[in-house]
Amino acid sequence: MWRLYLKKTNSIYVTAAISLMLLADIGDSAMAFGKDTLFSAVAGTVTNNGKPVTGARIVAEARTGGDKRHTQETTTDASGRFSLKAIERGRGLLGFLPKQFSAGQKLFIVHEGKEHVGWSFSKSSPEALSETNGRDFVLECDLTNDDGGSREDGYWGICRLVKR
Amino acid sequence: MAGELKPGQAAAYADGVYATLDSSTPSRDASFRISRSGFGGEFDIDNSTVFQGKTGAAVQSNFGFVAFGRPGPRQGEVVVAVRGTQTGADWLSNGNAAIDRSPSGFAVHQGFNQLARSIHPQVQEALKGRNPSTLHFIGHSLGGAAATILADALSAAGGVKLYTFGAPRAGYSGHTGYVTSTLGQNNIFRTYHDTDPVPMVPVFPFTHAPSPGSANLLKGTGAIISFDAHSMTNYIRSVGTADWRGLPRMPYRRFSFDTVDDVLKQAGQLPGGYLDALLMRLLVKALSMIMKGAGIVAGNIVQEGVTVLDQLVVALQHGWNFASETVEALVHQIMRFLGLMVDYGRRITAQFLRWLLDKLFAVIANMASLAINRFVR
Repeated sequence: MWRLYLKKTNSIYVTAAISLMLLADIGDSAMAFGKDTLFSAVAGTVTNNGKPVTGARIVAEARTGGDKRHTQETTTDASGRFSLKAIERGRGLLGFLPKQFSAGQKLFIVHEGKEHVGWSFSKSSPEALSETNGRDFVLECDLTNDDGGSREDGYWGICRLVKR
Repeated sequence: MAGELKPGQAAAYADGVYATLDSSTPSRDASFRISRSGFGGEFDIDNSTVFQGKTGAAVQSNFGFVAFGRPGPRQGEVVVAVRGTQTGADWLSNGNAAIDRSPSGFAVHQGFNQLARSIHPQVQEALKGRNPSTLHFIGHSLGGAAATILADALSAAGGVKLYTFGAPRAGYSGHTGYVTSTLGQNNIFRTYHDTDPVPMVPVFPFTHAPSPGSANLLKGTGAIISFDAHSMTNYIRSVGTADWRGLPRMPYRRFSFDTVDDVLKQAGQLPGGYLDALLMRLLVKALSMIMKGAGIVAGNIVQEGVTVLDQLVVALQHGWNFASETVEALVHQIMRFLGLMVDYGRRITAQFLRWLLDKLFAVIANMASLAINRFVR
């Protein structure tokens, strides 16, 4: 039988690579090396025919991997403003490897018993603010808007992305 | 016959179809994701038919869409786009890949076939009464393999064109040859990065369509196998706005020799070793030559209960008797790829060969499966 000698450095890589493969899908692990942004931090205003809407419920939802839903919510203040922190997910121990992923986003505005889709978008990069190609993520949502969004920017819903 | 889709357009569809999975409004989100890539106009994705698919034990989920051409140059044409999957468990287990019969009766990968079979009736239903002039089948990763089998199944429905990005090998050479001759090699657009591990699996006797025919071999990230090179984002970036002829195509490394010794000699001259993508390619080439020489690759023959790995071990052991230096050189290069060092002068046992090949295939399969797992989670 042949005698095998593991070359020191490479064997470390092989062992590390194999161990990391086993740990690849830890997901929300506290040991995470980094974060995937499923829904970037967003701020905005809700108006009704131009007038601020107070106390509207804002629900941001991100789905990934088929059935995993991550949500957070807030309500608009006296001037119709809202802001939400990013929805992130631990990258697991393999997070230092470059990757692509897919996450479905919806931002709902619930006001007077009616639910509006403010923003619907399919995020194809784990980077923060990939929704806006790195710009501030600010939405202006008038309840009287149509839900056509912008094809160029790849979203639909009654909100409009503020470009500045 | 209608013209083919542009590379960027096909890539935008292969990417956009991922939006169907995590959405309660799948066709609309796919449509807007494709629009964002700048290819929204020609097909009506908003009103497309979303179909479900099933892989292995996973629950059924949205897997793609059937979209019809809008009035204009694409009227009467149909796009069938299939997304990839994160299921990396059994379907990539290389040497022991289970075989199934394709719709045309040829040997194909069981996992890919099951997915294609779960989608097929839904596509047929969507096409009912439509009589399309051209069907464009598009897919990335596993979706590309399923699209290949679907293109085979529906090739009677009209002119068929197939576009794959970073797809694994769908079937044995019998199937590949059949698909290539049925569709025509000029109607098959296979694009892959040289450092993407997924197109390297499953190993022989699985082959890529078109065969004969050429593929668009693009420069991926780095020199070693890279998970990033598998991402659709990078495929979109690589194809850019080029047309197929203008695609920055790396010349396929054609071998000016056809002996295993020459391939191994070339492998030995590579400066890189550990997980080097070109070394991997040469190893696979050498192994398939040995199998071919031993008569193992026999087109469509499905040998029950005997895995590719079993046959390869027998072939190599047999080779040891009359070409020990060749087998030794092969073993040396495999070990170099795996980052192992070897002490020469000992007889290579079947047990050792099996261990080594198993390790080689496991490493390739793991890397391929990992690259896929980085996608939809």
